[in-house]
Amino acid sequence: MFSLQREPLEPMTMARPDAGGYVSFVGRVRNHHVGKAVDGLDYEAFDAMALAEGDKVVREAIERFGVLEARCIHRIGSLNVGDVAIAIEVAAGHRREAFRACEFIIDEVKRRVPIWKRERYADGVEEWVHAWSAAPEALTEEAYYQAQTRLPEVGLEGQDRLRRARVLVIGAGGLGCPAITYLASCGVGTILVADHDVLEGDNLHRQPLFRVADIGRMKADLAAEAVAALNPYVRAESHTVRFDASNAERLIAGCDLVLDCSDNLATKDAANAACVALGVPLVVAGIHRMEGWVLSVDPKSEGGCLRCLWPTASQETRSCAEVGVLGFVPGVLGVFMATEAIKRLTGWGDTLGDRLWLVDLLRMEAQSVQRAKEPGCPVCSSPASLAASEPIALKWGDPALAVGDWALLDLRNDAQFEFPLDWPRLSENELSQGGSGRRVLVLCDRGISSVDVVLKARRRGIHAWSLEHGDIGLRRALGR
Amino acid sequence: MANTVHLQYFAILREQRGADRETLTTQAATLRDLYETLAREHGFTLTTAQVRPAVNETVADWDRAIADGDRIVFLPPVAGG
Repeated sequence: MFSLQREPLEPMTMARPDAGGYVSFVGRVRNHHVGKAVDGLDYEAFDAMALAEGDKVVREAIERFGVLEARCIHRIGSLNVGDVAIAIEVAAGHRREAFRACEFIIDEVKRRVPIWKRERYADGVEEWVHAWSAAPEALTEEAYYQAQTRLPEVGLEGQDRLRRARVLVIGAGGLGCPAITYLASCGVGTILVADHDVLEGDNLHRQPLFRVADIGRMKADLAAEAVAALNPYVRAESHTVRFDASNAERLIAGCDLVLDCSDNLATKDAANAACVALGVPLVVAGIHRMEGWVLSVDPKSEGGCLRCLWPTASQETRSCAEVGVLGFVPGVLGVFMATEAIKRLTGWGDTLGDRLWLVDLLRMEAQSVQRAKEPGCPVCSSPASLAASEPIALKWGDPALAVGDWALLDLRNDAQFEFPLDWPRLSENELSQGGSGRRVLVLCDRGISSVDVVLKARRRGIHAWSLEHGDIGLRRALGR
Repeated sequence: MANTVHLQYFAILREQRGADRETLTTQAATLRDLYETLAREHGFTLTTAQVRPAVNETVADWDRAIADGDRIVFLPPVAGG
């Protein structure tokens, strides 16, 4: 899977019948390094360790992103400007996981595999550069974490668990800044930051991850840069989008945990619904002036979700800028979120569990309240109780169709074309036997008979929806 | 029947009540009756559909009967961050 090669490298070409998406990356020697002209360089590897660690990286990529095959070859020996130094190729069922796995491999190889390079500068000087880390040589990964790995509860094994974790942080604001800071400094290996806003001057008092000079730039980018500057042994991805049902699955897929640090209940509701649907734990918090709350939604527990607690939560609430907030209030809550997240990822001590934690920083008081699943919760209750208010039919393009696992029951009599998504197909018989646990979309010619099928299925506890106007609606939406 | 209960308010309810806690004697039979009485008295803008009550450190239903000595917390949703 990972190999070292002394001879010149050529890009690879994989081909296999079960793979639809291929991504290959080629890194070549460039003619400059930190402002100095480079003639060429020599790569030297600590062979046994490089092969073992490189293999581990490739295996992790295959497992984490579910790709079919991946390979990485690193050149060693003497290279000239323009020569291929590293070649990576990934084959996957679909392109998205191939891109992700490829990026993961190059980042991790540079970070973890012990390969050094000696650059030959045009002025005749030669210099050894650590090829696999931007950190000063004395600041090894071990040294970085030594004060926390010294704790018997953490140790090298606990640190490794954090390094392998992938966490999405929604919102790089008052809660997000401290949460991201401590996730990164404690060593959570991959941190995705989703935020669609630019930094404004009145954000700084509660978002001290940023600087005055950053005003006007995207906060997701700034947060990712701050993480890179803080800890060379973790990586952050910037996603400059507003988190909602349409991108939820793409962002959450592959994550071990999500932190909702957004400032509005609509986003918190969307994060809650997506995490429950995808079975990923969520840590979420909110603040108001000098008070705040934190809770964890664990799909495996009986504590229920955010909707169980506040059924009509998407109502209007006011933002920090409107209500007023002291900078440290989201700071305290954001650090608490990181604490809860890291403890959940590693299993150290007790977590919040199913409690709602309430803190009042004006009176310096904290208390917790036990939560429980609401039997009729439209988000997290068992399939037997899909809310009566849930619409029977969905329009083609409804964001709900992008969240969770779906199957199709195609009842069209005279289908002129194939349904455009590769969802598993169900027969009426399979639906009557329970529908495989997926959400079911029922498609008929005009969206009329499908409604009866949906109502009947729902009475048996199956999560089913009709496609509005059936085949006619679908063809209109697709312009056929 | 009158019960003595200990109330605690959070966030916007605290502001609208003008106090963070109080002990009072009430004729209200359920949490809903109690909240609606208080809402009229103090001009709370949030309805029972928006607020969640907790009794004796456990999230509760609005229809829960009130018992003497209950410690009741009203939790409005707040989202700032």
